[in-house]
Amino acid sequence: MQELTIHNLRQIDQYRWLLPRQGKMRTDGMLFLDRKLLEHVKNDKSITQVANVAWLPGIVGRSLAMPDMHQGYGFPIGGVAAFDPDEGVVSPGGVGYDINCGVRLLRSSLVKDEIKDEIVNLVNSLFHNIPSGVGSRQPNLKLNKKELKKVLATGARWAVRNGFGSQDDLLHIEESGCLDWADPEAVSERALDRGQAQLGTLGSGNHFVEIGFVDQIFEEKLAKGIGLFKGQVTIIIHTGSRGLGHQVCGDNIRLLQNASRKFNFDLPDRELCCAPVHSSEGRQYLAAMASAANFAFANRQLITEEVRRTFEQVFGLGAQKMGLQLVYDVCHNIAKFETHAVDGKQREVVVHRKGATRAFPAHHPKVPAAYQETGQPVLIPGDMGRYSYVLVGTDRALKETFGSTCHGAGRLMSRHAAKKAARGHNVTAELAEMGVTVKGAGRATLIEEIPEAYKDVEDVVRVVHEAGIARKVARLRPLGVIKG
Amino acid sequence: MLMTPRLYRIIEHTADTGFEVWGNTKKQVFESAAKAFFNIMWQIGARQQNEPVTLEVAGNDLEELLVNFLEEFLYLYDAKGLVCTGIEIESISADKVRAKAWLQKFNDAGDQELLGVKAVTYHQLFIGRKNDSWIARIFLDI
Repeated sequence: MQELTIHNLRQIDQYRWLLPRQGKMRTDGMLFLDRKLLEHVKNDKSITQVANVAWLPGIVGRSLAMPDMHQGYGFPIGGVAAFDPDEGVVSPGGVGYDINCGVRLLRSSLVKDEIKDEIVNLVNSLFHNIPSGVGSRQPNLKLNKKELKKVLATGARWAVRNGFGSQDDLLHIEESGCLDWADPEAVSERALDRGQAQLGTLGSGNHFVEIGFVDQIFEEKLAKGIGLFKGQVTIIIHTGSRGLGHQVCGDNIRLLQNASRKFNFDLPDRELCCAPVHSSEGRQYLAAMASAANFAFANRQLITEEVRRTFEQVFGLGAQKMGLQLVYDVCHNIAKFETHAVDGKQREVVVHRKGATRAFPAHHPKVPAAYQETGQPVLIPGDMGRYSYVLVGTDRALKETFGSTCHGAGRLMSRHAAKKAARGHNVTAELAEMGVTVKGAGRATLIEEIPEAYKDVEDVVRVVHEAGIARKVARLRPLGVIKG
Repeated sequence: MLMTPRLYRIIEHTADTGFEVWGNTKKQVFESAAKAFFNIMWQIGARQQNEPVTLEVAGNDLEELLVNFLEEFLYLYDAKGLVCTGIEIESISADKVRAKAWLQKFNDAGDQELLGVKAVTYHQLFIGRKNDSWIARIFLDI
């Protein structure tokens, strides 16, 4: 047992740190970190933010933090917390501005050597076909508001119904690509205005499409179970609900700040504004948030179709022939009704995951049929130079973290520090030397996103694997990346 | 060059980007915040000045007013492709800001987007008087 003077943290084992209930906390916190990762966060505000989440009414179990935790707005990034649907709250601070920012992985029947001469061509074509950048707009898809509301109500199902992908895709998306409690009428006109031209666009910042290959398999049986093999070409898509989601979050922060006053909640941070799950404000936020989440599911589905079309253009073969199938699509920023065992009893809770991934084990009813024996695939992107990981969910995650695990590497440098570090370097050329072709909408984004600006995702993945809240299956290396 | 007063100061932590502005009056600090925000987001090429429009933004308190005011420009940019090249605060009451804004259509050829801002946050938000001047500190979700 070791006490860390900071926040009275108590080490439970090599990867678990208990943040004991203190002050106005209603429950303990639990941090999944090793010493190295703890060093990164002990001086930012993220541990205080774990404590702040524990202030919220109706929290069930502990306030949790995944190993990629860092300072966020309201909840820390990497924060997970569940709330009682009758006595608890829902908070936009537990989801974030980029509602249902998430990742999907496509596999193929191609191997690395078959595409290596076409990488530059692939990257240029992807960049041409997928609108990217800050205010990226989709010129080929004009949605009126009535149609946009259908997207918000039905998510990826809308996309498939309109010819973007197949029924089989829907089976390989968290919640089958649609939160059915969405209500587009809860979404403001302003949010609709912002979303209208952005369906099928990548956006900016850390969003990307990456062509890569499986360079290491950790468990042959699991890899086989999710259709992965060494040398195989893969594609990762990382984006969210764009301006529509940002506006939904902003609108509801305003609404829930008023609600927090109305319900007399004692809150340590305005970004943690919240409302009882069943209050009119809580229901309004949940209905709007689910609509934005559905927009994000549809967005990733449309981009997937653009990726398939691009491969068809470049190789002159059908996407099916190239085996471009969806492995899985996971949400990183979301609040959902889920059933979990609490004190030995199954009950419904509202799980908030802010920069965290659902990681359900084999045989869980919410895991698609294809993965009943392996567990749900968990996709952890790293920075654009190094590698990404495929993991699966575990029983231990279900027991300890409401079936949640990490979501990515997390930044190590501020954007300014990254710019300073990149000074005098030709980022594109250096990445090319490492075997990664990169094209970005803005030079600034490329520089801010240099690999050195991020923690090594392997450090994060090692902790979740060793702590047992996910299991390593395969490692992917990038070959070509388009950045927003 | 040395005579040009600094408009704002960037405050950065690992995952956060924020800025601090100052002014002699409440109006001035709002105006500086808007100008800093534009500077962080866009580089706008030269063009002819057009007629300003009047913007009115409401909020429950000073912090909310400031957040809503800046968010207005994110909305105009995302939804209408408009950037703001000039701003003049007309009045600030307890629950409303009124400003004259010079808006232009973003032009792919001459303008540049510098930073993708998702939202203006309440994280460590501060606006208030310090000694004789007004200060505002704002963090952005990138």
